[in-house]
Amino acid sequence: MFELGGQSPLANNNSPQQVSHEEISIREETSLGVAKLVTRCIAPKSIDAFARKANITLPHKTNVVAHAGAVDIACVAPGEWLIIGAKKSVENFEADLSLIIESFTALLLPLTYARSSFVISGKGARQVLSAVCPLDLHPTVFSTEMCARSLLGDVGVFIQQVNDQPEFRVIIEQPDASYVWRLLYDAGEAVI
Amino acid sequence: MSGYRLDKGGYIDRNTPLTFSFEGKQYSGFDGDTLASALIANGVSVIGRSFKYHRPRGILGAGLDEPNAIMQIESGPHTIPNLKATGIELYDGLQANPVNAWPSLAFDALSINSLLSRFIPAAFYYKTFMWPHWHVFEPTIRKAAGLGVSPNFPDPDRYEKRFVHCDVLVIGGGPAGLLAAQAASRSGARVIIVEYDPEWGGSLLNDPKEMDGTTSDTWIQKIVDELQEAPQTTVLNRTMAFGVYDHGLIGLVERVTDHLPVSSRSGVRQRIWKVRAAHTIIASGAMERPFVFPNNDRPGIMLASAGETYARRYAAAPGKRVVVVTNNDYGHYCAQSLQKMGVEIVAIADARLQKNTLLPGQIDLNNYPVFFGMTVTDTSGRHRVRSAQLHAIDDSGKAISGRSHNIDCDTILMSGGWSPVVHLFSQAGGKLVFDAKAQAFIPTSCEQNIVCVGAATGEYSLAKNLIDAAKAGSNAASKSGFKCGSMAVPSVEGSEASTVRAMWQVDVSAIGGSEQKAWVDFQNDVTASDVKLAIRENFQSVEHVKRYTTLGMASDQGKTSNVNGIGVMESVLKKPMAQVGTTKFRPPYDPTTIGAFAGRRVGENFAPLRALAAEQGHKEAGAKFDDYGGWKRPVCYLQGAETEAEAVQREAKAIRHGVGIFEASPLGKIEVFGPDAAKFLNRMYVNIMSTLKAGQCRYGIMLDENGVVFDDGVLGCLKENHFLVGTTSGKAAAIAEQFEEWLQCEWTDLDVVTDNVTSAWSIINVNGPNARDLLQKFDCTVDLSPDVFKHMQMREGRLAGVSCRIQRVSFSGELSYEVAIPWAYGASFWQALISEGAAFGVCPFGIEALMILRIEKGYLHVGSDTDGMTVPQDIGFGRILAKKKSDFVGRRSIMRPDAVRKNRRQFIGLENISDESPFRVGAHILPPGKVAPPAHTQGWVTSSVYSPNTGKPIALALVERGTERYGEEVQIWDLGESRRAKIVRPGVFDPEGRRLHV
Repeated sequence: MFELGGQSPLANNNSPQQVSHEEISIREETSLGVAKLVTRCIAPKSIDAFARKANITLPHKTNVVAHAGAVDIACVAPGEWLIIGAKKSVENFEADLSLIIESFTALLLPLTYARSSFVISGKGARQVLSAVCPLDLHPTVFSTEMCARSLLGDVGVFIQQVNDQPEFRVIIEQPDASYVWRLLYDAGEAVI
Repeated sequence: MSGYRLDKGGYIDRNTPLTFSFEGKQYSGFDGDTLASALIANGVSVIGRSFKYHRPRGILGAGLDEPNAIMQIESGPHTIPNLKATGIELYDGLQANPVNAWPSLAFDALSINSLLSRFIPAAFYYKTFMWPHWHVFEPTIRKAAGLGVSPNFPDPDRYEKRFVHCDVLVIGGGPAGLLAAQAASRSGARVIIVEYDPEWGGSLLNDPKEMDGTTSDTWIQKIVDELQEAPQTTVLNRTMAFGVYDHGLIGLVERVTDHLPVSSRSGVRQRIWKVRAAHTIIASGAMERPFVFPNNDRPGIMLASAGETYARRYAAAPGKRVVVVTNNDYGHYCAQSLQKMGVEIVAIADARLQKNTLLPGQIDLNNYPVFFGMTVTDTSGRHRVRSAQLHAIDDSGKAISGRSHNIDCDTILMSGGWSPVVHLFSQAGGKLVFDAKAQAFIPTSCEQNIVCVGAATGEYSLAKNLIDAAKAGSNAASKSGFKCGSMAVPSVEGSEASTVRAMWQVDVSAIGGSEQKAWVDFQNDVTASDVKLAIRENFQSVEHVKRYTTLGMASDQGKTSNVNGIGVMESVLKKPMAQVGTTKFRPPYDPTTIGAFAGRRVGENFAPLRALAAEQGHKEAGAKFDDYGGWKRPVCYLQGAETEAEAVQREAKAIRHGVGIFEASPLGKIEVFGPDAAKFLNRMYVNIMSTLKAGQCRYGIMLDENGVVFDDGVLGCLKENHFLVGTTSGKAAAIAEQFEEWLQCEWTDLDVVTDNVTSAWSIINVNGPNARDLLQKFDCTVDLSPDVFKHMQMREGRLAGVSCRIQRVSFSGELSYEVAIPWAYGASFWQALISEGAAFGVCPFGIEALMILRIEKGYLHVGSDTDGMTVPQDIGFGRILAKKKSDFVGRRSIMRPDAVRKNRRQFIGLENISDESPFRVGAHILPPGKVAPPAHTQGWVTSSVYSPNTGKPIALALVERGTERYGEEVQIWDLGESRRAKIVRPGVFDPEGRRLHV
């Protein structure tokens, strides 16, 4: 008898696993935990009521990230939040919340082992992303604590600006990871 | 002057000589030349052959307006067809060739077309080559009329795209564009300014002015420096705006390394910028119009502005004895300017009477003869114009017999007035109106935030244009929320008053020249007589004339021809220009490399396929992959030297005798939760789902609103009010969206949440008589014993340390478990099954083997065995429909008369009684008594394979009244072969389903 092991979708990729340069760094973030909360709460009042009961902070406004203790909570659509943090923190959050949400029409979906995350940082980060993503990431428009769902190449992604370095986090579904990595790597090489 | 190169002047670097070849012959030029200017400086007059008649052609323009000088440059994989010589920056070693001449420019075999021209007018081929079929002649005609040749090699160049957003985009780097950009940039707004040319300054490069007490060159450089230093401003030269689309999207193409020798290029060749601009200012200038007179296409006849550009910017004299023909003041300014640079002007023919001009005193009419009230009515010369025939014209523009001059010359410069470059404005949906004063179509209003400034508005006073441009720049920035200070506009020297006489075609009917061809569209070889022919044949709308004649089509987009063509229409239709109207322009404004549009979407990134969780494991097992609904999935696993067909047969057999594993991760999985979840699913599915208990599964059929079978899958009940909906692999996203649409738009009263969790769970299907034995090798909290965990049930638990969801469902007819575990564990689970399964002879199997297994069982595959007309009654769901009382999507539609008619095509099986090979999918079932078409088809084969487990070919089909005809023999028309089959019930293997329940 043995235990199964989780594996990065890039584990068998032939291309380098990271881009590291003075201007730009692109790497896979293997330690990230992700969960998703989907509810019928759309009106601010019902979101507040849910959040109070669940004892969590839930941003009302789409594309905004709130810090909630050890995790970040990103509002990705009305009634839809992504919980992001260290794997253990997200697991704890899931465990706490799952007891509370029983009485709500809500789904809490653990996605840590279903998503991949890439971090693009450095002065050239915006330039890398501008080659593959149609979002306006100019600092006057998209700043730290903002997030969005968008396209990266041909696939849907979640993008969050983590800090002003600037550092961006791109979260994608694992079946798309190799494709997204190829695009980011290619765009990164072009900037270098 | 040495040859045609002027001794001084120009923006060329005489210290950097370059060599290049044209049609294999070596020439020299200088850094800063274009290919066109270098050819002119070398005295090359014939640079190509015309599109249809193969007449010798010379250079007409100096920029994007050039219709004749179309080149194929370089060779091998780097060859590029159809570039304009006027836009090719000269580099050392450049190889250029004409595109429409064989065997050579000097002797072109198809120049015979010119002699036959009266028999091959516009659209002749559509009328002539009707029998036996147009396609018989099309390849030859296209080859004869074609432009360049595409390379036969993969494109070695790299292209990329960039998405960018700005507050103000300025298109055009002439004086108006620069000032508009400066005004906007000073506010702090995000500004992008683009210019096609490598040099900034636009008209000031040809017509330098004193501006604010300094030279225009200094003024330009100062602004460009300021813009380049502004942190929020992007300055792009060598960049063309090729298209304006909805919602402020503008396409730019930047030529990053095209100006370098091929051997020196590295990195990106071209970059497409997809700009989302809050406001756009178009400062694209104006293009000069040629005159439409007989034989106006001879080499050596060019636009006056082009002649001045070659002399002023490139120190290349357009000719040695120049006649200028004009209908406005610019022709005089141009002649004077050229004369000052050392070019001999032998005469000017001005269509206006002298009293109707506003020529200022500094133009000395005694420098050369000026013939007022006269124009060119014919020319002579073959490889270069040799003389111009001038006639007096009356008030209506008709040449008067008797009063004429023949003037020897080698160049005729035409100044027929100016047309604002309104292509991009028109693409944006902007409205154009004909302005009688400017004798041109000018831009008015636009629904998008786009304005024109400078000569693009039809206003040619630089002083006025600078004021308007500064205002436009400030306005655009203000509207984006930026504060703009007052903007000092430079004072400029010179008088700019001007008049223009409309001259759309020189009427030579009174002097016997009507038979001579006069070109309107040089690139597409369209003459004034072609336009008239179109109108005679009742193509009277400007859009119809365009398509009949090809006027203004293709890569030229009517840059020099459109307005003259409309003018010719005006004279024939006796309608004013304003009523004739103009065509709508479309992107791209000028040809844009397809590679640039592709960007990095090449190779494996062309159409990205989603990867399975255990992709590496599949590779190691010998998988042959293919695209199945956007997923890269194993077709089969090849062993040794076996063929794909052999592998598929082997796998299909192995599953029924042992155990196989199949990655089914792409199967759609949607979670549905809430007090109204069952009610919701009842409405979405034909089947009743509200009776499903926790741990049970049920097959479901889903319809669209027309009652057509849209998808099927297995739905599992995780617990009360919580369902896991299975969909087919290709439909998961579409169904998840449909669920949300119904919930958010129609059934807002239902308390339900849904989420697509397809990529959260990797599924490995363990399939075959030994499936349970293999799974029991794993530490699993789910009891797999047959009495506890039955067919069509599901369980949640943990398997080898990770959470799992197991459904005992089967698409093969065997004992089968679909084991779902978190995606990242899929690869590890696959490997574990391979190693633990070795003792059972585990067989990885691909999609094609699965298809054989399900066809043996007669299981329907939506999309293969159904089409856009199949309703549930056709596939055996009539009884379920009858039992279900509540409403569901598509219910009303399946009760329409057509859906309940008796002779509908029904899902049945076919047994081949002719031979041992499977029918082809799509083969038709003929009515009794028919052995070959023509005949009414009674249906067709939808799935067909050779079944290794029954030892015969089997098929599924949709056949009229099929279920009433079991046992009937029918004739099959199979791609020209007549074959026979017997209609049978679907499912020839284990029809009782015993193997499912072991």
